[in-house]
Amino acid sequence: MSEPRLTFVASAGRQCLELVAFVGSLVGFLWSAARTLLRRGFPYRIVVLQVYEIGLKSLPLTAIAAFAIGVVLSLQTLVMLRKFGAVHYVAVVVGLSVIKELGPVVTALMVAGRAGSGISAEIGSMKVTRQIDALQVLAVDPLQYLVATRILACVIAVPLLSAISDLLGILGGALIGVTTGGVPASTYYETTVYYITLGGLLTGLAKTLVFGLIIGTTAAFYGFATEGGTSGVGRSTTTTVVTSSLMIFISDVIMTQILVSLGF
Amino acid sequence: MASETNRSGAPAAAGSATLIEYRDLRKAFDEKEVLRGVDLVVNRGETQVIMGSSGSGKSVMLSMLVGLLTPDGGQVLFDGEDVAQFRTIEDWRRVWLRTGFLFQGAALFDSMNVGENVGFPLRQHSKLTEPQIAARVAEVLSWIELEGIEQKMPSELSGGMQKRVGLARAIVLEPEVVVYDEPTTGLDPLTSDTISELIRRLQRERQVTSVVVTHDVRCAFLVADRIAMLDEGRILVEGTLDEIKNSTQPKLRAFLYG
Repeated sequence: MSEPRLTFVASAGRQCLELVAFVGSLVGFLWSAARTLLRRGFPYRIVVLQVYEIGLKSLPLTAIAAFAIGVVLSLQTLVMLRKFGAVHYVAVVVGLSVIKELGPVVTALMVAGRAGSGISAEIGSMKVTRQIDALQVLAVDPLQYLVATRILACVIAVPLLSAISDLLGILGGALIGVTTGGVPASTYYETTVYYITLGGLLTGLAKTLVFGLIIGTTAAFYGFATEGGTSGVGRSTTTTVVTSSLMIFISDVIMTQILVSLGF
Repeated sequence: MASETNRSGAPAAAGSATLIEYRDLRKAFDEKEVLRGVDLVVNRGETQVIMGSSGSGKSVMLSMLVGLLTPDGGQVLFDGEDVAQFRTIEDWRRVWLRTGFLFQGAALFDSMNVGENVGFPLRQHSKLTEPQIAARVAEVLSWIELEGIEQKMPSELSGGMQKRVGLARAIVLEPEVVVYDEPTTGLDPLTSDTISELIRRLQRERQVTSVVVTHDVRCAFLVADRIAMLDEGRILVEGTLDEIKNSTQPKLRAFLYG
């Protein structure tokens, strides 16, 4: 084997090992945090505050994004469906696309960008200013107080936001379908309700539980790993958004493959 | 050289006089050996100052006492228990709940106001009601002569005020031991003296055991019952304040008097 090819193989192998090590660290970190859920005195009040912080404050962003996607998807789909004289199927295309893929994925990406970066920056600055050490010597477990609460909040908030995004995406599609496509509102509604099953809705939302877990864990992990002062906080924040976005896409592919093979 | 009484004249507590003991403590970061076999005893009710130049490992000794770092070798005994052998959070809680820690930068929680910062340990570890917590916070803030600043955020405070609020948070649970990591670094001489006086008052009025890490000679002379000088990873000299002041050890004299 020639030397450049060997170098490429070695490099690829090293990166695979690094990826496995990273995933292992992330799972270990999640496990350590999850164990604190069962410990006495879990601060549920912080979880509620974080659901507000992550959920309600991200709502305008995710709502606008979802509505816009519904509108655009409807506009694009109508162009094609007109050629086949099947404009009333716009409700099916928009509805299924939004609840199964676009609603969950776009919501998760928005939350990763807004709340994931926020969690990472907050924990990262606490790390570099020794506030996490202060928590520990005050006999408060940072993994429980800072990490588990935020991961749990993400797991709760992302599905809630995604459900709202689903609704707004469908409404955005309906607005265009009815006004531009000329589909009667009642027909649009009936078609949507007929094709969108509870199973379809739940599979989309099931993905968001995983996305929430990914965002919360990745953000807290990189926040905790922050080193090197304020520039380190910046690096952690960027890495959080990039990594969690990639993991959302990769996990979406895997989950979709599994769900499709199971007949959902 | 351990004394039977401290500078305030308070006798050592009943039972063992030793509360904290470092035995042959070793720690390295990468290839750099920071501590190469430190032996030091801290008696109950005394203020032990650990001095040394920057990077000599003084703060590392404090971090190992409260589990922020683990030793590579040796023992750290807290009331007879080797904390280096602790494996669970429940083990550490016994030390943490008996120890207050003042960080170099105060490490106040910047998302909380002063009242919430000082009341935080009470909310976590006591069954006090909110009015009782508020009263206790006001009492401790009054003790550090910063009454009525409960609503201020840490970012609104000067460095000296942050240190005092950090001290209030460290002592609100009335710990037996308070450890100070560079309590006067970055402060002007007058503010430094205020902090030193608070450390002295705390020891005098509440008989707490204190471990103060500093390279501020003036602060050390104001607060110490005993002083240990750390040099090249070992204790170079250890003794009472007078013994240290009168020592002829050349490195110590160079450090103290330039």
